[in-house]
Amino acid sequence: MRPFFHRRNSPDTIVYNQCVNELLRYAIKLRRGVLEEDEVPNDLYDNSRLPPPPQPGDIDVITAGFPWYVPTLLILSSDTQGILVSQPHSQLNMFQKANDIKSNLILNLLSWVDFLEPTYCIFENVRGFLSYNLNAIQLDEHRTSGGISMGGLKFLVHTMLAMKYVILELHYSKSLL
Amino acid sequence: MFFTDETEDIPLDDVLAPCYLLHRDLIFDLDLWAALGAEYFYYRYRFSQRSPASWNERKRLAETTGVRCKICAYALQERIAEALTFDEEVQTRKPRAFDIFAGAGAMSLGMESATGGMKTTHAVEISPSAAQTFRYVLQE
Repeated sequence: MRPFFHRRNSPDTIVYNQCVNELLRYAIKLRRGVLEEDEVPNDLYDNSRLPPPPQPGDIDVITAGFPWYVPTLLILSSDTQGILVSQPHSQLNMFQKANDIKSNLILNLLSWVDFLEPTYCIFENVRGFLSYNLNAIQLDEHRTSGGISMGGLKFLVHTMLAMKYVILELHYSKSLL
Repeated sequence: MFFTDETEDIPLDDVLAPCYLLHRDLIFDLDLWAALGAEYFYYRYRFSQRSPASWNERKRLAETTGVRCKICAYALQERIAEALTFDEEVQTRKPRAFDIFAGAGAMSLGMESATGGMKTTHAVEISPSAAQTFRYVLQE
């Protein structure tokens, strides 16, 4: 498809096409001076070596939208027969998982905040994240049970306060309470 | 907040961050003080216990009560008053942003247009097609 792309959208942005965990490991090892030559991750698109990741002092703001397109997000019901309704991050998700690996990406995000110490952080509020119950137990293929109500949000707020951030605005829907 | 005669020990592990507590009469601008965050408080009264039976039990405290350092109280507020708001900071400093879980860059683009000064200098995305879309835009 490359020929179709003929204008750089973001010429000044370094885009790392790699897993955030790999990039974080790269950044911290580089910072500590313990990075081996063969540990530099490659770009997943063209396999080129990734440029150095951002270091403390390079970044003023961290922005993040949580990538919680958790397993199957297509909901089919008799009301919407024939129409696929994509409702990401919803608890209506057919296959809820107690230990979904994407749920753990919040830890990576908070590690970046701890590492780069930006002045501001802007996080997108995603419904599934707010209502995500920490330490939930898997009941069966479709359901989870228990855990800490809105534990994901509580964990985020607790950690950000502990890192001396002030939470300026927090918007959430009443239906989550 | 108000003072009481009760004391309670709290494990150090439960302490998240310091909070700032000033006598009401030492605060120049109460709205600004309250807007700073969840850890900024003021006090004016003392009750004998945490759950007083009546509002009439209150005893007004002098502004010197409980305040260790008046100089710090003023200095903190002066520093706060001089601090730039997010909007001012964006305009003057052109902050550099790092977009994590960037996708095709829609959030970065939105942030740059909404703030009119922020610039996404770095972004990370695991999906090759989304990352390529971030790098290039389809024109036809």
